[in-house]
Amino acid sequence: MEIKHDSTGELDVVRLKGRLDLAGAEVAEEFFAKFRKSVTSGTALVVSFRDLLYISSSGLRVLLAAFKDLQAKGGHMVLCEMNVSVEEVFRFAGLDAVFRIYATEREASESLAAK
Amino acid sequence: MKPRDHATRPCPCEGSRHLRLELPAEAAMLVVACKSVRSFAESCGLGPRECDRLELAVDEVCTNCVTHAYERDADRRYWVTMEFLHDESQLVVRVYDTGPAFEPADVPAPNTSCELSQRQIGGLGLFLAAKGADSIGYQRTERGENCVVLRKYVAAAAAEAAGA
Repeated sequence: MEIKHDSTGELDVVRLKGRLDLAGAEVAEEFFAKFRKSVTSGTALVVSFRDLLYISSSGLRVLLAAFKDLQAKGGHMVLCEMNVSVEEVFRFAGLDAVFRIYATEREASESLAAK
Repeated sequence: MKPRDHATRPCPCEGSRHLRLELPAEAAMLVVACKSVRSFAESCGLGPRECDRLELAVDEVCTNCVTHAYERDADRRYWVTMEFLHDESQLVVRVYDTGPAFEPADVPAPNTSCELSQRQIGGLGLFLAAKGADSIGYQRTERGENCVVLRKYVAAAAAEAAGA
């Protein structure tokens, strides 16, 4: 599991690569624990799933915790570029109705720019 | 108590193709269970989307072994058997652990339609395993193990084409 983080000041983009299973979730949890320290009410985060091959409930748990945390602080978080099997796991869990999920990173970024 | 040595007893599988894995309770090894089952399922003619779902089911059940049954004690082992029942065009995956007995019916189903503030952060594992498999069952074996049984049906023509 690899995580890349780019920030322009106005927008944070986090790119997930590999498998977000139990082992991947440990890496992601560590990342979000650091990330949350910089979160403010102006934080706008895009999480790109373009290179994410797989997700399990362990991964969903970390993303849901990060999302709740960000929302509690007034920040915004959207997801994009999921493959069909990852998207299906979100749907199975009913999380497609909780997260805003965009087809492309550009659409995801633009949705946050409108905030 | 140390887990019993699975290798000393007969494999429960009766299928024309079968395989058995013994895995340590480590997060990093879950992918080995997933990929092995996936390759096996592919060799029996299961299509890619159904392989994705089976992989999810196997991962969730094995994750429960690692985190709940063994609490991440990497010295402990769990076992995954897989077999193909040709006559029924059915793949059967069993996951065994020697952890405390659990009753899946006692695990509350997560609410997957409530609003964010009420969403539980955990509790999705067995729910997703049931979504990914065509059927899921649980037994406590005579040896005092938990055994979760996952079944997946393969279209007969696809199984034939795969030579399974």
